[in-house]
Amino acid sequence: MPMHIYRSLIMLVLMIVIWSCKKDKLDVEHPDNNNEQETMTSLQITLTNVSNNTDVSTFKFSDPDGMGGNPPVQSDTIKLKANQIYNGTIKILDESKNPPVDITPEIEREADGHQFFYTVSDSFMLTVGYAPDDKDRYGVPLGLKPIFEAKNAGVTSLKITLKHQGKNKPRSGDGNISIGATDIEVSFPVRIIQ
Amino acid sequence: MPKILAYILCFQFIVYCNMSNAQVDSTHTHGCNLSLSGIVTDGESGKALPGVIISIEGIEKKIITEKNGHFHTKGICGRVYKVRCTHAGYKPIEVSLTVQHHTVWNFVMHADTCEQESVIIKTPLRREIILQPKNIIAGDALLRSRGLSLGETVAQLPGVSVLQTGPTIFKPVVQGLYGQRVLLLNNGIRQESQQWGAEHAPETDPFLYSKITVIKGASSVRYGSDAIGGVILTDPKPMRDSVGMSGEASLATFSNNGMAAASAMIDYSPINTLTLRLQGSLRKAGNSATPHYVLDNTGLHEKNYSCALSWFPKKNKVEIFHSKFHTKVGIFSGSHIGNLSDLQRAIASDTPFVRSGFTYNIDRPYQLITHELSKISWQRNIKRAGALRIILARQYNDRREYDSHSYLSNSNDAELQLRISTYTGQLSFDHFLYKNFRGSIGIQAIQQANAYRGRFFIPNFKSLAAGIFATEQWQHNHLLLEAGIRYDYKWLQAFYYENNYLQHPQFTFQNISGMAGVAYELTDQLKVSVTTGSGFRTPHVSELFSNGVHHGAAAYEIGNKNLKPENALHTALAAQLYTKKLSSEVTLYHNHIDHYIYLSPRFPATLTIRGAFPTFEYTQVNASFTGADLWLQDSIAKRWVYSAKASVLRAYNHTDDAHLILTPPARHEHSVTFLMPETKKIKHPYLQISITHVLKKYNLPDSSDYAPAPDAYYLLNATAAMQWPVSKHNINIHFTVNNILNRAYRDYLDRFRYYMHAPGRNFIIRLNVFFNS
Repeated sequence: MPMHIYRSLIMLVLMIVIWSCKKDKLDVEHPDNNNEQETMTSLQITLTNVSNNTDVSTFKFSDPDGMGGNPPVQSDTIKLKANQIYNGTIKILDESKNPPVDITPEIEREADGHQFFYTVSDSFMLTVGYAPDDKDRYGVPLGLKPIFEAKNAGVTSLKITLKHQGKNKPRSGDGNISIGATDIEVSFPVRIIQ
Repeated sequence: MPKILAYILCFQFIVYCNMSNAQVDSTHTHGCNLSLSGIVTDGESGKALPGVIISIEGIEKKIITEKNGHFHTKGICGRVYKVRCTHAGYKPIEVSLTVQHHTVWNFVMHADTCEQESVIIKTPLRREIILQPKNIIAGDALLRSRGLSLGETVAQLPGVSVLQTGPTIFKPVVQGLYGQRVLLLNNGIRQESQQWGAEHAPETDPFLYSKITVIKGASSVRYGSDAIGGVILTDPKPMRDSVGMSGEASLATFSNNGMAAASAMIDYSPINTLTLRLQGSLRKAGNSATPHYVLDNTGLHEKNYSCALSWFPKKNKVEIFHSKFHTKVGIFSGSHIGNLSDLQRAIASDTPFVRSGFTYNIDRPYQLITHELSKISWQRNIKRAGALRIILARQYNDRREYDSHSYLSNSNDAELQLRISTYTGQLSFDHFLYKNFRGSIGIQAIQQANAYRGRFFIPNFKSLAAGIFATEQWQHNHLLLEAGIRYDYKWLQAFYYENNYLQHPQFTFQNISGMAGVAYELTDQLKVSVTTGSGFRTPHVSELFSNGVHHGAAAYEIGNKNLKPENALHTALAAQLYTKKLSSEVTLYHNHIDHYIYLSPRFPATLTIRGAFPTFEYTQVNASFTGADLWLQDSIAKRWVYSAKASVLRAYNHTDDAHLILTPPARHEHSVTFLMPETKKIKHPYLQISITHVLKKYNLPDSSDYAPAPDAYYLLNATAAMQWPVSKHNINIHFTVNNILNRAYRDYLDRFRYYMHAPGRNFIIRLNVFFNS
């Protein structure tokens, strides 16, 4: 049997092997430092009394070292006056960086795939709705500008949920909290005084 | 009848001949007065085989080997002959011989691998005495599984089940253990990828294999550390070793997810001692459907290829092998949840919130995985002493996981990329039979590097491990004894950031494992064996360093740097009965594992901006896995065969006095096969109907799971098969319907059972053809 067949077959296989082997130089000793990646650590809500522009208060949930690690360092109680309406603005921050990074514009940009939901445990004291201009392209609420209507005095709680729904976000109606993955879920105690 | 059927249903007419030596007599003669002689031996035991039929093309007289395995024939002409040797219970051998002189040619025959999976009763064959309980899938059983993943393929064996992540990701579970605890030897090389993850399926192409063996129980001595649950061995078809070309082509289509699978393999031998093989396969599937809805984003796109070259110069055997596996697997979009509230909402709803139609498109979330294996092996037979074997291999695994969204970046990069490169080397020596002793010694070494990019899951690491082992078998008449010992050493260094400081801790582990077994043939038909083997597994970096939310599991997982290796002691009692009418195998086993690593709940839950997460920490307990596997086949009437399989398991945590979660529930399966009469056009047709009953998992500790174990379920499946001869080649045709009644059910071992039902009815057509020229 001619040697050239041997040789060419062996060469062919070796060439395929060498050609298809990826370069696998792995830099094991220098891993990514995940602290350098952006992460949501804090939610800040600013409430302005509609009938009194100077009545502005800010409440915050903050866990600056991110998921796990130390427990959250700040978890405010939302204090409101009964029978008043407040315009809210939500800010999402990454406080693991110095200075802190404001992530809210990124959520605004992806309004078609995100929605904030406000769940009050006792609607006799408080209801939360969306501002008329607080909508995505399809007219479904985004929820960065909630409207708080404090009714009766008492203690209740408010759960703020940010859902990432991507392409599954409804294209009409008021949204559906059951769809998608939760990016934020924070509960604030609420105290309404006379 | 059974004997003939047994023979023909072992479809694997693989031309496989292992030449031990070929000598040429110096007497140079012409004309038709040459002779051909030699000895036929058993490839496993080395013993001479009497009664082997040797047929030579063009010569009517059949030659039968004598008591000492010797054969001799005269009146051979000086030309090329096709010589075929056949023997009940052995794979037939066919070889092209160029006869120019008085020729001495020795044949080595190998036991047929069509063991219990062929659908008929076999006559009691001379079988190799098996020590450790094992099961083999080959022949028709493998043809019937073409197009399925490795996990689904082995799940048909008693004692083997599958841990699922939706309809696309399957991990084999052997006697209740899975993941790193079940070693996969892919073409003789220990598969090294990211096996620790429950959603990481083994990256192999089952189309490449002609035989899959599952060894149950701890087997660290033979196969190395981590093998405390069992070992899965996958073997490609042996390379042809005579001049010519042969191959195999397969096609399969599945109605449920619109899957099309195709594979082709070609062997070409320009000369007897050199063979080239090229093989490739494709699988493309769209969304799966349950009886009532379509599962969004559950498609699969897979492309694999391999090439191999074998060369047998004189007493050497050299093989080069290279394969590449590439897959894109869609993850059911309804399963990508953010926190516990999402999970509870999904469980509370009977159907998923995300609806979809059928499509082949795969969107986020998905996995993109490439696995490469290159291997070179060299075997040299040393006169009268034994065989020396060297195997070197390199593996490279690149796993990219794309989350349902990358909410903080607009890039299209994977949120998590894990790359691992592995180099393995093995040197072993098998000595030939000497005074009833057979055995082998060897050393193994493995070097690994792992690097991640993106969200933290497991740290970077480097590791180096080495092992040395020796096993010896003694066989006399009906008794076989076996013993072995092994020493392992492993060094590991991890690299990760903690509070902006680079950490690089080192770990070393070492262990001695052993095994012993005894088997006795009580009669020709009944064999019993008792084996005991130990195994150990070093904690994986994921268990040492995890710290974060496990994706889709809504759980916060915390590693433990102080974990010790797991030590297992597996004892099995097995009985095998093979009569003309009835065949059966029963295995009782007990696997005790010290320092069994598992996630135990920790309180309080971890509070984060994404809500509260139930928290789990890697903990070590003493656990045991006790169970029984049964297999039985009975020819109930002429042409009718009944067969049954059953597995039960009790997995217990002795430290906390509780049952272990995520272990397979009891199951049993019954089938009836009707072997239809043959016609000229249709060979070996049969009809089979089977019913599988999976019981509900009981005794789970309270609050160990988010949702209760699903109810028991029945599944009805049927298969019709036949061979259709077309111009000397047989086309194998299988038509299967799974879940005939289109039942909606959820399986306890499906991690996505919280979100969805299992797929519904599935019509499958498979075509397969072997060719040889």
